[in-house]
Amino acid sequence: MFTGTAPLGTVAPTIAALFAPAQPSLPTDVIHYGTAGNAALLVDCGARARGFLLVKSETSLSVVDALPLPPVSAARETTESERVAGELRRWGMLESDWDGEGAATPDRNSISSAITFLHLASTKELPEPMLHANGHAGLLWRSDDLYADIEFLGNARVAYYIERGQGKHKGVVSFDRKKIPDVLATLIQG
Amino acid sequence: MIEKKYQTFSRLLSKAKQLFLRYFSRLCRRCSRAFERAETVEEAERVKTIIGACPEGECECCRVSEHSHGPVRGNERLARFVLSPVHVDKKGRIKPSLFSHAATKGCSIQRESASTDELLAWLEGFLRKGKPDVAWCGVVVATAETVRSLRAARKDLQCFAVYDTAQADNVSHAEIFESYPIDEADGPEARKELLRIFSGETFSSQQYRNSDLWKRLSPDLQARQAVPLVKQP
Repeated sequence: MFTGTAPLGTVAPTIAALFAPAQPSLPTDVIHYGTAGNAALLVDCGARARGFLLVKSETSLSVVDALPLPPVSAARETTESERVAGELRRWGMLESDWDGEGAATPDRNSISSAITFLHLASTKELPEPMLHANGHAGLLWRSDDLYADIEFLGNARVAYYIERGQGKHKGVVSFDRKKIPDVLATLIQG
Repeated sequence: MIEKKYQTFSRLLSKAKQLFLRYFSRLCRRCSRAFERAETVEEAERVKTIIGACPEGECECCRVSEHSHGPVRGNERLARFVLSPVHVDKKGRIKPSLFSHAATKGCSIQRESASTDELLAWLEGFLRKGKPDVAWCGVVVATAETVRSLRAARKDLQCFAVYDTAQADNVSHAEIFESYPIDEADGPEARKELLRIFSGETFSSQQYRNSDLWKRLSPDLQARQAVPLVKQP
């Protein structure tokens, strides 16, 4: 799963050179995070898939391999889960004082934990992402019978407060990023 | 048993002191000096410093800033301006993260007794000095009494204190602070309580004060990408 982003403006000329057609269009955005390692599928202005690039780091993108794909007629819509994960990743790039009130620099470990938790959780409704003033990421579920606020403390622990039906539950548990802690799985997945 | 009697006596003494100071607030130099000292520490430690000097909201009856016109009274309405789209969900509701500053450096609010001119001057200054992402999404309101009545893990202690931390260029500024160090296991619950009471009165930026503040805001600040708050049923 793709774990970093890069400013596309810095690599547009490289990407343009990669694409073979006589009039290559410059890519406009990353719309899909591929599952083949650290890769990003870039879509050109005509919304036709062109190839994979290997993302080296969060600040640089280098062309290592190009795997031309057959053109597709339309770009796939971003899923809701991808939207939430994408928002968390975008927040990971913010600097301190991102809220104008002195908030701390977002904690990348915390954000990464939140994204992993999001992908592991299988709930009827998706959570909203949160970013706290101390730089910790969070996930918030709000529906008629569930309120769950989970804060990722950045050290393989999560703090939670959950109201499910008439019951209230809170605490701090370990999160090893391999599976959802049992207590949270029971409460938020029902 | 003796310890319980001591705690009860200590609490009664603290309340008596608060009542005394309510009538003689000008005498409380200790509290205003504590807040001045808190300005010199790292922002993330500010609330802890204030709790150390004024535990359990002890200094709420004092005027803690020379710019303030007096301590925040219980019936005062407090406006939390929502200035980052990060704190608004896709249905236009505030998220509990809007109040997470209450545990670190203090959660800024405006006393609603401020005139629209005062609020406009503060809001424009705030938006201009911040990053372009910062935009006015709306306002949520609760009374000081309701904030002070909140209880979380410790049912015998108020969770939050409200202080009149007025500034030279923002005399209506006040802040919500934790009144005792809230454990990380209890933090989300405490935030939820603030979310609950402030969600009761929600205004988009164009609804607040019958859009008087919005209309007078500079067009370039109005044009910023805000996620508008939506009144909840």
